[in-house]
Amino acid sequence: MINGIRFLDSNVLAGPRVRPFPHRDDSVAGLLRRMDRAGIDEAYVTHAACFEYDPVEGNARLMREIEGEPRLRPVWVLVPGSSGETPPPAEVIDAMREAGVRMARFYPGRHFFSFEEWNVGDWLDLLAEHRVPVMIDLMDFMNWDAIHRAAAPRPQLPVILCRTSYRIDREVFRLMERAANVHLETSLYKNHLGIERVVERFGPARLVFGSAMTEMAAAPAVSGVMRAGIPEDSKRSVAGGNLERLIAGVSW
Amino acid sequence: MVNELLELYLAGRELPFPLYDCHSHHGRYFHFPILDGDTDGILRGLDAAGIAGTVVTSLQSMVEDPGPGNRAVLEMVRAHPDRFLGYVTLNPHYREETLRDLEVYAEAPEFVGAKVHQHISACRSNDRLWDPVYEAAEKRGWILLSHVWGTEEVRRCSETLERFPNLILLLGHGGGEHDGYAAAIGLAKQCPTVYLDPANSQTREGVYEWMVEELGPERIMFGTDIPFLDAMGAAAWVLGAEIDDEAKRLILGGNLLRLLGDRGKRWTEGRG
Repeated sequence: MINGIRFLDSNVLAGPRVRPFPHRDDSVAGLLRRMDRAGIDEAYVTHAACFEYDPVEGNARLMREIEGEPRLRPVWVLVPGSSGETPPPAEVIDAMREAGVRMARFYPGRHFFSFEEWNVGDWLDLLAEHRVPVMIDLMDFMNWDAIHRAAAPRPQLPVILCRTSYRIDREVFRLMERAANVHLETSLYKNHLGIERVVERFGPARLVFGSAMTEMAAAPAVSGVMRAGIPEDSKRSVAGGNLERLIAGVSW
Repeated sequence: MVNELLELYLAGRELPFPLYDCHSHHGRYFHFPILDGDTDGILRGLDAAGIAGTVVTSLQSMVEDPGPGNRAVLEMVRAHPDRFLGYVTLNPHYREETLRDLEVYAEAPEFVGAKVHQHISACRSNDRLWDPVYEAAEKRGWILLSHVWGTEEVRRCSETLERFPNLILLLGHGGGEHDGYAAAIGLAKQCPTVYLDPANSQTREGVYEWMVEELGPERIMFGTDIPFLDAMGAAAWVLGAEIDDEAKRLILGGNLLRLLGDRGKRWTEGRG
């Protein structure tokens, strides 16, 4: 909590990375300590093993490692349902409901799969049916055509673009105009006066706070909201209110 | 707990020391839109981030005859002498124009350094085409800000320093990635005139802690890279690091003011 504003982080990683970085603690305990130092109250967590090793193993490890931590909430990483590496999507959705998982994440670039209708349409239809927020990680994946084709026909599917860049305004503004269900996670959208610009064009509801911890430092992300030239109510929405609203919309 | 300095900063309150930025730009860029990259827009960004002053380099001067871009920076600095100082920015493929601007701005009190961008200007930093810039910077005690990303670019800086051993070389982005940071730290250990500016494009956890541990705080500066990026993130990156408050003060402006000496008085005298 900073100045009475509650921060709910949509984009946090935990778990060992292929190459440790000096002075960085990738453990769950390290993550919690970093959250305290940046004033972040709660976080939605993805396990690093999901993209460093195996998504199924990573999801299972996540549930074990954050068990009993009330400030941490799980995000499961999904891959195309036809590969055989996971149960069919409908069974995974049931497992998510039973495990209390209310957000999903795709890594089309990192996991080397097409994000087109023929490959992920079944997933997206199911997630849209239950209004489960879906994060699309842009790491090694800037296929705006595929994202547009996935998001625009499914207005009931909350889409959050994460790990973005300061170099995306030529596409993302048009995408957000055409698909009101597309949201922008803030950690790497560090454009000069960028938060002000998005709030002015689209209102505060389209931005979702994220830090990209433990890889990135959290304080820059928090400062981007706290020092933005937007009203206090807008800061509250971006810092946590918008994500809370999207999560509350999940219907099993 | 949020540390006291970061808490002040996030609440929009004044810090016990002013912030001075060693790395900002003026102009536009082909790769993506830069909105509010003019003087007023940059001032808005600095004000939002609570930054007292910045040293500016022209983006336009990197890609053509450097004259028009440097003149725009000169106008900017003269219009706001309490907020801006300039780097003269060169494009070595325009040799005559580069030599001309080095001479034109040599005695200008508004300019305190030179900028070399080996990617945008399409000329490796150890190419002899840059030598007139290095010679001028070494002779005048200018800060030479060079964009440095990755181990190979650090190696090129090492070659340059063999020929210009007294050059005050500020490594913009500080090496930019894991191996690049390690190489930049190694170069700074070998060469006492090398300074590191991690800049703002990759605000990785642990970078300032690592650099301070290896070098101490006196060789590190903070750069915003505004208007590519928001300026407050660069400051908050330092303020949130697990380094002591004196190290933060030095990195956030103290080291830059020390290097500028009398040339920095344009900024500080107005502050009383």
